[in-house]
Amino acid sequence: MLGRFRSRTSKQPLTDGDKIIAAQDVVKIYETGATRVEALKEVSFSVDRGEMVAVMGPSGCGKTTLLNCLSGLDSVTSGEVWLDGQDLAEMSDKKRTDYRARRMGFIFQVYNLLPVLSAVENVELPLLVAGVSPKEARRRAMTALEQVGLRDWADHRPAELSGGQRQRVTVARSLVNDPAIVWADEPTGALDSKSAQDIMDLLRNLNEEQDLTIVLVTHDSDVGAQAHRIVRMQDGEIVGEERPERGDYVHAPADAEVVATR
Amino acid sequence: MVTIMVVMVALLLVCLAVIAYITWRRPVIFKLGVRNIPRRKAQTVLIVVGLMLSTLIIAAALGTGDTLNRSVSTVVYELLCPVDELVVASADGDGEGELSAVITQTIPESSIETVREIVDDSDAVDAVGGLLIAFAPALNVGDTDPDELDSFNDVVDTAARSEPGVVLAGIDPVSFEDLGGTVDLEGDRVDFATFGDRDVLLSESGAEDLDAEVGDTLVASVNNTPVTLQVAAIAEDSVLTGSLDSTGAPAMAMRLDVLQELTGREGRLSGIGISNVGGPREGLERTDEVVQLLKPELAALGLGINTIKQDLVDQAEQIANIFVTFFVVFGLFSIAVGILLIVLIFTMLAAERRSEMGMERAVGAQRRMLIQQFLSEGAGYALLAGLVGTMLGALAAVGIGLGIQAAFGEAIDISPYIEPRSMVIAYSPGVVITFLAIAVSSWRVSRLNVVAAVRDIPDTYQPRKNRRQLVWGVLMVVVGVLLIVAAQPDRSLFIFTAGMTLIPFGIAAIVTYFGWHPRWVLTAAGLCTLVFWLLPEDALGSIFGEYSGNIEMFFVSGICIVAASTLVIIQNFGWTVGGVSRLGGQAAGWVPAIRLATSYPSANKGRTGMMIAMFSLIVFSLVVVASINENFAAAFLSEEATAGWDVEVETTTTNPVPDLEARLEEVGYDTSQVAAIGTITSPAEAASTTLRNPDDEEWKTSLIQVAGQDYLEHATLEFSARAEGYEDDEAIVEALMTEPDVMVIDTFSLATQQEFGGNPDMFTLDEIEASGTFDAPVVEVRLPDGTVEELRVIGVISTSVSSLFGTFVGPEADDALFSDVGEPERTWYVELVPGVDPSTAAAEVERALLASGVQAYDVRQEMEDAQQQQRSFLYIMQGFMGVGLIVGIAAVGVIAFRAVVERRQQIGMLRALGFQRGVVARAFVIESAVIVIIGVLAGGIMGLILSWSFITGDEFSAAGNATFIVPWQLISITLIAAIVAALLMTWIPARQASRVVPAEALRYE
Repeated sequence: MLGRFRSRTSKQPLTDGDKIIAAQDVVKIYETGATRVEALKEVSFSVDRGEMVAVMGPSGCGKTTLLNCLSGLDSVTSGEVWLDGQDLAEMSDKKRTDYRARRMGFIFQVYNLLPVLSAVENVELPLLVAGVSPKEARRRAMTALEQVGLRDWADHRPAELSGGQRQRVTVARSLVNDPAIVWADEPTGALDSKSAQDIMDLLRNLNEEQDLTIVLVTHDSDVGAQAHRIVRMQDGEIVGEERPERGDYVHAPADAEVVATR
Repeated sequence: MVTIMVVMVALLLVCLAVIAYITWRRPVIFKLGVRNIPRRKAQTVLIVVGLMLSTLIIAAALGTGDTLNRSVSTVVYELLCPVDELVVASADGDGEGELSAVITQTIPESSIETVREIVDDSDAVDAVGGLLIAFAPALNVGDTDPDELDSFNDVVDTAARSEPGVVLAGIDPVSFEDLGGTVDLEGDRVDFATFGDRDVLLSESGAEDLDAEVGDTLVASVNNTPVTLQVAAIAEDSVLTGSLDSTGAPAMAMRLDVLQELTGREGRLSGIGISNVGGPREGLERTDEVVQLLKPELAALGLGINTIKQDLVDQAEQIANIFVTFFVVFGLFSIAVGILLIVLIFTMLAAERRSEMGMERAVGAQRRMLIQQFLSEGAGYALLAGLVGTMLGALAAVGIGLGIQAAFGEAIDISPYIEPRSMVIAYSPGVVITFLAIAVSSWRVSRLNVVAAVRDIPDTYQPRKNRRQLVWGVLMVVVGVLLIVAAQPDRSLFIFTAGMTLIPFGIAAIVTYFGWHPRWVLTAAGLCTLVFWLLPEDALGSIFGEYSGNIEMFFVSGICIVAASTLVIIQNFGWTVGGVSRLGGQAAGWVPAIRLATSYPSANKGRTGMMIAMFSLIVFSLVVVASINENFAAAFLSEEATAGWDVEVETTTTNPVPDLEARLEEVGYDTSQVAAIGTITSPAEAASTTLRNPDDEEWKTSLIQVAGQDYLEHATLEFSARAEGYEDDEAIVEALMTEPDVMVIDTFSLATQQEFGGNPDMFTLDEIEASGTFDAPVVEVRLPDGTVEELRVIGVISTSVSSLFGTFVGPEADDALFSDVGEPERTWYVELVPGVDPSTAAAEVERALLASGVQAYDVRQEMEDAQQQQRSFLYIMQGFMGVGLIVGIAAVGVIAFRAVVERRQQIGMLRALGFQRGVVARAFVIESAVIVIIGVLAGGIMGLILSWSFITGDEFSAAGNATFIVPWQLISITLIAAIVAALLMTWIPARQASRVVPAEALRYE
């Protein structure tokens, strides 16, 4: 499988000056004993620099798998993934990890903050791992926290913060290394509507003001409606795309949306 | 022992009854618990290994006791055969006799008829037999014709083997048969009645030492006259071959009349052996009856009965008990570590099953049902672990037995033996301890928030300030004060320290209730406790007065010190690891790993505290034992140890050497290499002389030795305490030479030095401390003829002069106390001119004076050999204690494995953020290393401080050993071994962590 994948990587880059993420014929198969699940079926997909894309679809449709494969958190079974002119398959685990540390930010549904570290310590982690001096890392982490409105909460541990605050810390952490791409997997999934809106406002502002590329996976059509483009998935395939008018929220349940797409 | 067994088995039955109740009333809960056991086999193995520790230690300790008891008592039974009691000379008039009288005194041969008449009608005694004991050097000249030999010294060159001190036992053939007779090494009955004038029955040890066979000719020197003897038979060592102790000393038996004639003791016996009805073991039960029968009759005859077999069997049990006590007390540290591990394991098991438990609670299970579920599971582990622990403990006992055999093999033959009863006793507390630890940890983990548990998210439970805390605080203070008051009548150190330890924590609970910051309050409470426990004994005494404690105080102090130091460390963990972080900050690549490695232990204080305490406890105990061992060894082997003498020459009363220098010159020995000679004698009457403090009623034994003028003039003596009026050591020595009513004693004869108990029959002097000055106390000395003299104690011999034990008087007191009747036991001391090797000189002296049967030793070498034995025992002990270290290391592995499972998602996130595999692995390894290093250092430092307090305290520094020696070698080895082993244990889970695939770990659906 890997050989087949590698044999196709000596081609022209799929990304260029406009495209920052490009995937072509990406297949991801999970094999567990006798069970074989094709999570992604020859998915081709690209994201422009500075674009905010929402990947939507029902549970188990392969949204998160696509995000993992595109961000290099997971390997693909076949196909090509290019990030900012670099072929992911050509990169070693070490280089891919380093690339994530320097060029990517991640936001997860359950925050994934380290409970044993304070907010500022969580935020400065990517900088420390990238080799930034502790002093500089602390300065930049504080700036990032200020950006998300949590400067005064810097010394608090995650358990002492509300869900919305925790997710803001996650956003600050994803921004602190000045990334080219931010990956957000259900960033508002565990939040109440008010907190969810705060987070989305934050992401939208960052996207608009800093020209940050954001790929987010969501169930929530309100969230998706705030992206430049919605990519719809079903059973491991991209089944449609649409460009909502940003800010024009569609208050309909995710399942209804899926049915409508079908 | 039987009582302990009954209590332990009863407790075990209670535990089993609890499980039976759960099985009967809540079979589902029981099944839920038990079915968890085979769920993860590797984990089950780890748990069983952790839980078996207590049982293993107890089983090993008891098994070692059994082995020693059996080995020593077997030797006694084999040695004494049917002889249960001895009748010996006794001037006390109380009908009791000392064993030493067999060697030092004789009784009329007619006494045997008297004894026979007394026991004639008794159905408790089946035989009576007399024997005479003498000591002589002997040579095996093989088949050389003795007639060709002119003198004893002529045979030296032809001798195949020679022994300077062989026991000669004279037994009349009737007594020999009455006492059961014996068989030779081939199993043929020895016909003693047919023995000729020069025939001897050689003991097996004698045959080995002299390399003799049946038919060989031996030449013995009796009264400095050569006597040729013929080996008629060789038999196993026993009283009938003349062997009176288990040291394997060479001995031979011959006809009584022959020995009487050779030694000039016609019509005399050393003692009369009495055989009770029944075999060698069963006969012992009638000892009391026989003593009751004989005692009053013998008292009137100037005789006394000595219960030799009973005493030696009791001694065997005592030795075994001492070993068991030592092993159990030192093993308690490992048991404590084992209990911590049990709590840790079950806390982690509960954490792993949190969501299951939450679900159970959600569907209606009560908290007690969760506890019952854990108890069922835990009982399964405990019963299994108890079985494994008992078996391994028995194996460990065999190993320890072999270790003791290697260390003390010359003194006694150790053969492993384990009583089934001991294994039952070991199994029961092991299971009970495990059961209780599981019950406590289950109770703790059953307190969970159902929703948080079901969703497996952190419990946001915040402990609230409540009145219960205040009540507990007040209660602790009150109980603490009551304990201090209760300790006063008996001056019990245990009760006093328990009270003193409770109070600061009670106050801490109270003041935190009123809003003081717990960190500072608990730190202060911990520091107070540390200061109290680490205070030098003399400082503690001057502040709080003197209290007395036993050896268990070592364990109690260890637990309290380690608990307090761990509390202080954990309360200030951020500060403690701050140094590590700052250090790591210097190497940029290490910052993230160190940040993670120090953050997790900081956040999980309970778990970290338990880990630190585990390592601290073990290292503390090892360091204290090693420090005391090293410092004692140094003190005993100091420059002063030999009192300035190089060679010790022991002589026998059979071949007395009244003037060593003259005798040496006589045999042509080059005395130019001798710088000085001195003598210490033990007068014949001294064996029956008793002492007491004037206020005491009971007379106690203490062998008074006489330091001769020559000895006092040349010896280098140091005294750690002096009576008023004696300004320096020279003044005391001068007084010994000139005053007739003065004596000096060693520190072991002081009651203040008997903290851990001593022989209650031995004399100890009240009130005097081992150092400083004192008003010379008077000691009453009762001589064999009943007269009582008074002597003043004017000095306490420094422990550094470790070659001198007991009580000593000078020549003037010798003249005043003892008559010149009988030849005294005499030991000569030789100071050599510089450059002469003491070992070589000792060998030369022994050879030159072979005819006199002297035994010469290199004094320092002898002391070093004795020290080596003691060290070997302590090394065995340290190895035993090191078991706990292995458990601590295993715990590091268990926790690291668990941490990987717990933090899987976080590891995925870290990898997503750009943490390289190596950084993740490094973080795990550093985390373990930080905990282990802190634990080892804390335990090591606390152990050193306590040892320092003890060693430099008044009592020990009296030994002249004020400087404290740190056992760096052991500390370094322990530190390095613990860290390396812990890192190896963490390496596998750390690698596992580094291989977590981020996308899989982050999946939360």
